[in-house]
Amino acid sequence: MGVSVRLAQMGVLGLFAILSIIMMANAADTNYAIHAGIFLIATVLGLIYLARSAFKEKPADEGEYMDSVVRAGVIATVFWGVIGFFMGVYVASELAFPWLNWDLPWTNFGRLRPVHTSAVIFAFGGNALIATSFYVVQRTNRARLAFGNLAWFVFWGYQLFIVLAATGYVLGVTQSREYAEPEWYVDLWLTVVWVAYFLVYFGTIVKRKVSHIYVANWFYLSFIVTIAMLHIGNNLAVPVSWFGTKSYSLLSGAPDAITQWWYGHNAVGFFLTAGFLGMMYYFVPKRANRPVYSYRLSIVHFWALIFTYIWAGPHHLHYTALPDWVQTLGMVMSVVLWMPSWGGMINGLMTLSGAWDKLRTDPVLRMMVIAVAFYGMSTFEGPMMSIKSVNALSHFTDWTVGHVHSGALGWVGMITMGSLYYLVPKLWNRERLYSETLVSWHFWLATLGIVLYAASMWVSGIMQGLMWREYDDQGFLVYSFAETVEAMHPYYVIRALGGVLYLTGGIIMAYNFWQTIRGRIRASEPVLEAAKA
Amino acid sequence: MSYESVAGWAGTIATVLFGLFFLGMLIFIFRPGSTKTYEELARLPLEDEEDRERNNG
Repeated sequence: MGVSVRLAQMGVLGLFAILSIIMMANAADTNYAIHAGIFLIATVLGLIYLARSAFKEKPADEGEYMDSVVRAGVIATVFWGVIGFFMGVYVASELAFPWLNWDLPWTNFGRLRPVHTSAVIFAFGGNALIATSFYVVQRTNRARLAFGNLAWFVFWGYQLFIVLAATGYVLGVTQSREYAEPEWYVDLWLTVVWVAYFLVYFGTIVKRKVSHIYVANWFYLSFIVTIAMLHIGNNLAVPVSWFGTKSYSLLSGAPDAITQWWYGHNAVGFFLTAGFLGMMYYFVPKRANRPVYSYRLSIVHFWALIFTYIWAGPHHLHYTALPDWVQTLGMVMSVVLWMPSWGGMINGLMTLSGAWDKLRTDPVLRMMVIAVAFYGMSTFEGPMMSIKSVNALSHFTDWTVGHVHSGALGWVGMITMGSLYYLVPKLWNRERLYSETLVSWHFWLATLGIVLYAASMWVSGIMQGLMWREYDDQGFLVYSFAETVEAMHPYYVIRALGGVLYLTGGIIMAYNFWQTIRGRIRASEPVLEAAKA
Repeated sequence: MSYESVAGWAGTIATVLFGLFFLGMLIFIFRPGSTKTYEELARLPLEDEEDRERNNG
């Protein structure tokens, strides 16, 4: 890295530092000043790092592949994962035991819930996607990441986005759009980071040394491009002042609502599905050491999925002011999604055909397979719940929460953790993981946790929906709202317990990685054939 | 031309175009002689550098 490039980078960071000082000096509200301060600290830390490294010759990471940023991404994924799972357990406990709110504004459910959702989706899931996509794009294209250290900017810029988002929620900074709560200035920062991410990813594909672009890259790329489009479309807002946190959405009423759910459902479709399918199409074949069941099916899976998902958002707005035909369209497209989803699930599972015995010996592969099984289950449940008559019962109940978590804990969490178990020994050049037994423990704790979570939410959600719509022969509602809340208490406790099991699994994983990275191997364990494959 | 008529036509045209694209994709991937190509492409991630080294060693 030349000194002149370093100086240019420092110049850009310096401009950002000056900008954040101006923002802090003119801040219209305290929270804005705090966020400008965080931004300033980040830029100063960046400047110190660049200044220290500019003038000393360091043999940097210059191998065939740039894996240092992937290693950082794996550590960030595990770190945010444990925090996000803990926040989930905490907010679930608040629902069961409301005194955990502590009667403080910063710790009430309304503020902590987005901390949980953003921590697991964007911090845990997002870091997992960025790290694995950087790993996969280099391997399948036989090319080093494009644009040098821009990948590091993507990594640190994304962490800054997470810190700004989370601190904002606790302080009460929100634009109240579900899964897109950060205010306008944080959205702008994420846009900058995301464009850099696209450049690194696409630039690496352009540099490739093989003629064909492997299908995992299609899924990752569609995730990156679509999230850019959704993020900008959903966050069109007018700030009240350039120096204040508050903004107002450009749209209002039904158009605003459908924009929110056009974004919201495609965050599920392209962030939580397409991106992680990219993971599935690379890591399942690698771990099973077999090519994907049908490459043709993977192509059909890709095009059918991206053509259909984009239409499914209106099913979040059944029986609202949204035009009826839009609701029906959303429902029909959601039901159509059964086909690509199950095509993809079959493709993932059948990759193991002829190698099913590996499931008995390899807990990592078992984790990946149960992830694909949960993908199938939650993509069966989702279209069913999008049918208007089913939705009339399920909407606004805990059933929805249970559905989301069977997809999030089962599919997204398990495929990520399975891929991480594959990645960590490779990235740190270790013979194998510290302990395969601990992977087994993690597998069973997480699976049991999901079962407790999903089953309790089915019961409580359907009960809640039925209680809401129960009329007596006079036409009066039988139950008050508070009575439904009281009836749900035991299921809230079971749900929190399920979360505790899942969190425990995550902590075991973090310990296992810590020991693996230190180069330890648990001596008492037999070395499994699968672990060496 | 009213907004409604343009929106209606645009929707129909886009549906037909997307349908044709999808059909074309299906025909393309089942073109004669492509089975061998796709079997080779599916092996792409299994033939990384590091795995070749591993197999040789």
